[in-house]
Amino acid sequence: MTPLLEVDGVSKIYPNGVKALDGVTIAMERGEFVSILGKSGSGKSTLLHILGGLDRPDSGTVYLNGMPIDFANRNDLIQHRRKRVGFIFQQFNLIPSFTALENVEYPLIFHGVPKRERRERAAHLLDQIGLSQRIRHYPAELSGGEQQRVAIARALVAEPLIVLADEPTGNLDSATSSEIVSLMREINRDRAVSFFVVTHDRDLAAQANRSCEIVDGRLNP
Amino acid sequence: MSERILDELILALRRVKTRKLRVLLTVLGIAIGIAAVLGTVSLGEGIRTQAVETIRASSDLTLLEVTPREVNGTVYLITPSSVEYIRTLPHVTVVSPVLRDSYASRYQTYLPVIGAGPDEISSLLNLRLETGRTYSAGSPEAVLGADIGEYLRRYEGMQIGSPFAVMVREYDEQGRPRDREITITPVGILSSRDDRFDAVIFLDTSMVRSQKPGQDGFDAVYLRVDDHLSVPDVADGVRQLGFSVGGAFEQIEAVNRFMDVIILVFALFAGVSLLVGGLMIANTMMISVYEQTREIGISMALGAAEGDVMRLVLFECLFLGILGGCAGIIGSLIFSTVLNAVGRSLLLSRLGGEFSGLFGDSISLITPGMLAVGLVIAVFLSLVSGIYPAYRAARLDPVEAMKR
Repeated sequence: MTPLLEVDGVSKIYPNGVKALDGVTIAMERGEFVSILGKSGSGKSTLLHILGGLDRPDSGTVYLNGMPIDFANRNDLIQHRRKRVGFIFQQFNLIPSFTALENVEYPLIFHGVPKRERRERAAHLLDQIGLSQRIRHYPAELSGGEQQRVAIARALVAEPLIVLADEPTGNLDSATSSEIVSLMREINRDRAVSFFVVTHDRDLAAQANRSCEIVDGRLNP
Repeated sequence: MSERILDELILALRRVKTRKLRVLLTVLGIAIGIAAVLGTVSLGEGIRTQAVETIRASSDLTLLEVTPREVNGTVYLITPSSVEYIRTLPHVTVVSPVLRDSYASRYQTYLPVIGAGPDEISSLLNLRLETGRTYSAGSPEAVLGADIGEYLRRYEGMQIGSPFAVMVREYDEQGRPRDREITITPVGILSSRDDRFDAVIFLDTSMVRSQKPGQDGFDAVYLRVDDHLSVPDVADGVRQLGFSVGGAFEQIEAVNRFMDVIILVFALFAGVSLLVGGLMIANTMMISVYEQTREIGISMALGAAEGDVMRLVLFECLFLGILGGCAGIIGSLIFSTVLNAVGRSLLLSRLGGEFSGLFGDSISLITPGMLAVGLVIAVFLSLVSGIYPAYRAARLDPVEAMKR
């Protein structure tokens, strides 16, 4: 059976000559929780952006479910972002003018899902994540941990093949961080959702099935 | 798909609602532009309508005069078969082919002559006799226009019922003028009608033709149209036969052409404010896109296509345009009402009472069609102004945008 994700010799050089990624190769199976540990500037965010179709590699190939991502095809990248991956960010990246519920249902607008169904799916997810009391609140009225939970629900709402998390605990205190990590692990276990997490948080990396370290764009298994 | 577009419309509407003050200012910008354009056009249309009504009331619009066209210096007269054809045109009620000539009296008074069938020409021109009777066909009898009749009677001893000598001017082989005297019998004088027929002598066709040896055709054809609205159609029909056509309707055409230019020029000046309104929208939307950079980046990461992003921006413009257009329509209605209430009496007090007929009861005319056009212009302008901001938004790099 083909692995869920296969990264084959991906390199990225910035216009200023800095090698962000240097021949990164890694594979992960369905249901795995993989973490990539790296300092800031190690290229870990760039790798995540490439996997999520937000950035393009200069060379190398990324396979998802055995299918290569066509980085030259804008449409393919949009479909990739829309249907196959879900994002979690360090800054939460919720839309401030939307309530928690609206933030979670937002990606489904681009799928053309009718409003009633969007609401039901988003409310159901928020309920499962323990935020049913907060669905009418705006991001500014939520704590950091609550905002990240909303963001996690948003990443799951379109039922992606893989969730890509970029420093999900980077803006949280240690108590909240471990809550968020446990939540992600729980989802990984109970809902069989695959997680690919890049972080500099060793505690988070320790919770993963598998952890690699990235240094100056090179991946050390 | 339509579900998605509906959702995007709702999102754009929400965005408009959350920025009330800025939206208000931008909308005012478009509204002023639309109101200025609609106001000037309505004023122009009002003046046009008044001018046309004035001409219509004071002139004989349904009378047309068909004249031959000159081709390369040669005049091709109107043949009897063409006259028959003109008779068959729809909406034409009376047709009178005429011959034209000019004679002189013994005292060298210039005498324009129209030769026509007596019954046709009287019913066509609605001729009314002041004294005497009308001429009979095939005779040398004449009916004189009011002015010329009065003049000849007073100064040249002409008497109704007595023969009167007139000179037919001819030219010999060397081109020298040579007058030949003929005798006509004035039998009637027409009432004054305040037009050029007051100076004309009417004779029978056969009489005039006998003085023009070798001419078969007619110099002109007068015709009557049943309704002034059909005049342009009849005129076109006659023009297609290769003839020129004239009449009071030309004055209306001239007024319309003149007002078209005036209204266009005024509207162009007013359109400058519309341009400013468009630039305001472009500016507002650039700021809006700049403010939303982060949200746009997030939306793209969550699967928004470039089309979705462009639509979100353009739908916001759409609402600005609709609001601006509606506000502009209200503004122009107020402008027009104020103009009719205050402007009319102001203008009349300046111009004097004799112009009161010119401005009927309104000087500004707004039609539902103009309002619809105003709304369409506002929406179109807003969308055009939004194209560049929308393009900029759609081409944002999601990673860079999210760092904001």
